[in-house]
Amino acid sequence: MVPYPPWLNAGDNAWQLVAATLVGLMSIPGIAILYGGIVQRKWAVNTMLMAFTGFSLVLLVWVLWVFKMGFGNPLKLGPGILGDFVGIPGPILGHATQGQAQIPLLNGSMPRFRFPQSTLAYFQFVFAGITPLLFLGSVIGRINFKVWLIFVPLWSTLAYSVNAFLLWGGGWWSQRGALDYSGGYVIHLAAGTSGFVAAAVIGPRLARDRARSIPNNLPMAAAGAGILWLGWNGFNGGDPYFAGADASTAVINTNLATATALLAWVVLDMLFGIDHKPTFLGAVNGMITGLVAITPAAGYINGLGALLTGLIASTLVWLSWNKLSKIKPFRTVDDALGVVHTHGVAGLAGGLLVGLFADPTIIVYLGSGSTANVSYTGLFYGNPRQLLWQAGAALTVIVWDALITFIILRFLGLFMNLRLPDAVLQTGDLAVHDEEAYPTDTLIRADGTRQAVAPAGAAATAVPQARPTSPNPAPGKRP
Amino acid sequence: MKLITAVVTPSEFDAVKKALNIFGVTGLTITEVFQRDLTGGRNQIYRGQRFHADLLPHVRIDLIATDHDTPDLVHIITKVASMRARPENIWITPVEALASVRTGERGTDAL
Repeated sequence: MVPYPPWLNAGDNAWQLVAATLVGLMSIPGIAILYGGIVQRKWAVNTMLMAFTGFSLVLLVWVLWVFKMGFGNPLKLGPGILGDFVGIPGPILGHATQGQAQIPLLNGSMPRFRFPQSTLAYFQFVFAGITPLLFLGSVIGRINFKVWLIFVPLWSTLAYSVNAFLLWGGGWWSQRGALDYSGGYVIHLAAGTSGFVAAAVIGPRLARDRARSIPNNLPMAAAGAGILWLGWNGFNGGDPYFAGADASTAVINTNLATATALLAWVVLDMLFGIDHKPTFLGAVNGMITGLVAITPAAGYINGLGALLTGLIASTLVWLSWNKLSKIKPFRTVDDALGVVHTHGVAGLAGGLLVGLFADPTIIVYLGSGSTANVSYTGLFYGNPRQLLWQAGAALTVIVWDALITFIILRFLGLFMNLRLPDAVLQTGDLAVHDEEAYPTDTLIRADGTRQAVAPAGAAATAVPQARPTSPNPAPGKRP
Repeated sequence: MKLITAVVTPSEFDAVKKALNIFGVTGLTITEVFQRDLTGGRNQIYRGQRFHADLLPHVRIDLIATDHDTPDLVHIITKVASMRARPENIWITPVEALASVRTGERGTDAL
């Protein structure tokens, strides 16, 4: 007996599974506790639950039809870009997933995979899974939980599949040569755009919540942010699909850009920020900006490029966060955690910068025999077209994702309230879930019934409980 | 009997507790409270937004003493607290009756 077929390489498969797990940890608990810690005390449970359910929902639709839409055979919808826009939907539940991985349109343009299809499917799932969690930050504090449960699978099906197919599945922009190493466009620009549009369509939080968005637990945010940073080693390090030299390049570039961007943000805060003080949450913003900006470029650029990417992106996003946010429509649309800046603007900046910094001597795959090394050339190394393709791909993602998000939410809005009623928003977690992040045990009775609070002087008239099993007021109704 | 209520800053609290302990007062009820900051408060900055905070955390001490002990205890608290920082508030309320929940004793016996 042998443990695995000859095409399988244990090192590559092991790294790919570890990388996928690292990326999964970025979602749960990474994003769940980062966002759960930054939001107001009354929204921590709701935020964490939406993160966990979103992750689960995406996996279900991923294996049922979305993976094939992103990485399968093209669905011929029409001429030009329509012919290579999205894949044919289908499930990946059979034994075929034990066979050698393949992305049909990439056959010949990259080495053959050395791990099974299930590894590829899971690795790509964790990326699909984190994307809705990222734009969750735009809509927290008012989105109807039921809307979230329906919106996420629809968005993965209609928006994410197209992003992934166009840039990673061998679709139209990938054929032109547009680069997205591991998701600056497919994930972050998409999340920033969709989050912003969703925030606009759903409507703002309560005015008081907007004015007083005080975080409930910064140490928890620190833990989440740290998991994001180190998890990104899998995010970018896994994307060459082989545990080779380019994976190493991507990992060190990622950390270099992130450290630079974090420090740049802190310095900018000290020089030009409110009261000229460095802030922890500012550093986290800088960190995320660096991670996002290096994502489309990690394995295509050299160390100097990574350093400059972190510096430039952090400066741009700092300006966007502090200045652009004061201007319409950024001022009016309530993007609660500023996802449009730290993911949208940062992803766009990184995507365009790879069009400048892509270094032809950074080799993604080695050539052998008659085939040349695979590497890419940016504007600074003599290929201005690269910047054009980067801009074109960005525009496609922005337009398509904004459109799809708008249509899905408007459609769902015909049947249900996208935004929770104000009465529920005033209470938060307790009204939506009957749970709160920091319950006080002395204030809760053990028998599950509610203490009837009689008005003074009317103690004799006890109010009978209408529904003894659930004594809490229904959402939207004030007791 | 009197109810002595003192509001001190967290930094004074330990010294006050220790001093009262030396004089044999062990039964204290402690509450974390907030007092308006008379110097105007300070700003906190979260995610680039400035928030104003003019309530400062304080510790409220409640203790019940006999009429005879009350002036001495007030003296101890004010003395110790004002050695650390500017004295905060202290006020005295008459107590009509007192009962111990555990032993059922009444009046000064319940102290």
